[in-house]
Amino acid sequence: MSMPLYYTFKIIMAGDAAVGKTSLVRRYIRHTFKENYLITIGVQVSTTEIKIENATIKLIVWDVAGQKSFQSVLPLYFKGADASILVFDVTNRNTFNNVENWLKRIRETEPESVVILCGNKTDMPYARVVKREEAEKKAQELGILDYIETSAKTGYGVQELFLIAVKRCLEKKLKAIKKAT
Amino acid sequence: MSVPRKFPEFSDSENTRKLLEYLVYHPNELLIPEIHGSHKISYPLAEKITELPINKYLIIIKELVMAKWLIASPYSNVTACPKCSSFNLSTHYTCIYCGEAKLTQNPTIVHLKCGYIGFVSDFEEMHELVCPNCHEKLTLKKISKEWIAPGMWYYCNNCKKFSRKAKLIFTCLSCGHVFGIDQSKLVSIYSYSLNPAAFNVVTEYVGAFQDLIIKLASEGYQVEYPASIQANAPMPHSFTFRIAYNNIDTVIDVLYSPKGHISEEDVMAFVAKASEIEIPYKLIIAIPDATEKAIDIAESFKIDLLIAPDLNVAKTRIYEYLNNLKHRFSKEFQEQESAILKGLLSKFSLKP
Repeated sequence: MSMPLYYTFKIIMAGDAAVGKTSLVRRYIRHTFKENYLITIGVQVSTTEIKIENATIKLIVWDVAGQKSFQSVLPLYFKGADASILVFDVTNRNTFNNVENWLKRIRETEPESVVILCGNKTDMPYARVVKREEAEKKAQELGILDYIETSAKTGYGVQELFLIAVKRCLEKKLKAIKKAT
Repeated sequence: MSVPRKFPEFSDSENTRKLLEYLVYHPNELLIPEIHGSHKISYPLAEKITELPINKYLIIIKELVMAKWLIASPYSNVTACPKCSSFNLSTHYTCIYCGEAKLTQNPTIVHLKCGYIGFVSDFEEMHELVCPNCHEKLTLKKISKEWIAPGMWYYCNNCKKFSRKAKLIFTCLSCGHVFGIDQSKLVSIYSYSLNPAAFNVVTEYVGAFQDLIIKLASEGYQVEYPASIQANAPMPHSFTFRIAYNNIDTVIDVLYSPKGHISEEDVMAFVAKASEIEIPYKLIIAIPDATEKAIDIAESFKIDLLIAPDLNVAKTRIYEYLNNLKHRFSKEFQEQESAILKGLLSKFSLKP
């Protein structure tokens, strides 16, 4: 039997207001291990654990509480993020246009953070204004490895979104070990 | 409130050190006062540790309070003679009419109908209440209308009057002065505990971490104690330790709370300074415990928080934590970890 491994990864939810960040967290962390409201910085922190074989991975997911401005929580919010999930609403072009600004903020504070671009609200195809191809192209242009489409409402892609974040964190970890040895 | 990291000049440094050393190793203990009959308030624990007479160890306590290393907390108060300050007082109640002390106090009945006042025992007659003055039977139906039972009243055996109140009089057994409550002197008495804000400077003063520092240094750790780290802020941030082993850099704060639990505010104060420095491993040692919320907040910020009931356990926790880190960065461990990680990554299925 292999030795047990424990990892803790901080994942932050970024993106404009009302794109569905909180809904995505709630959909993924159905059985929240722990929820903690950091009143001083207006952040909701949800903790959950996933076990893969002998490895225990603790995910600490940071989400801005309510519609509070991100300005008030910077830079503590981005600091130390292992992964950043950058969410936009596929039915709202403005939120897609703002992706670049969000990425800039993330990279300014935590350049090593893994970034995953997420197009949410795909359950409303009739209202869709940002196509998958366009989002994938943007991700590529911005140097973002992964683009995932989700619907927090139906659950489509949500599990995959967080799993890819975990996978990228583990890859980063492996890379760091290889570099060190 | 922060306490300057410098050592004041104490008049009796040897015994001051003894007292502080005891307190840092026994975080739950306070210097509790004991009141004596004369002018004295003593602190038996301070007496036991220093083996000094009261007047000498009180000077030590006073100096430590002035240095803000000890905190004085109101414990109780005691009445003292306004003339000689003695606590050795006898108290007695006197009649508010004639000033005599010949009082008795008992449950009383006032018979409103005839105006007679007497103790309940005066009214009792074969399981009934009968007024000894007018011989009327007092029934429950007539209570409040014809008679009342106002509770405990005083009866002066000198002037034969009843009263609701009596006057409290003190007689000083040291100087014989007699005085009322309005002339009495109220002396506040305090218990003393280590000031949590001074915990690190006190542990440094008594050399409480020396054994740990020597042990770590002998094993190749580079120890900065106390640590001062320059961040973006104009003033450097202070930590209890900065300990490095090869490239594994750790900052540690040892926090102590006399209330028994390190609070979320304590953790947030650590977060505020730790977030400004680029050191990967951050550890809080909470003595003797931490609140649930404090533990949650530390976890949210990926800060390790370990609980230690006392300083000896704290030192063990620090040593174990560092050794564990050292082990995790060993070539052997990383090779195994690398192989396991590769295996894990191959098992990820990412299809929605």
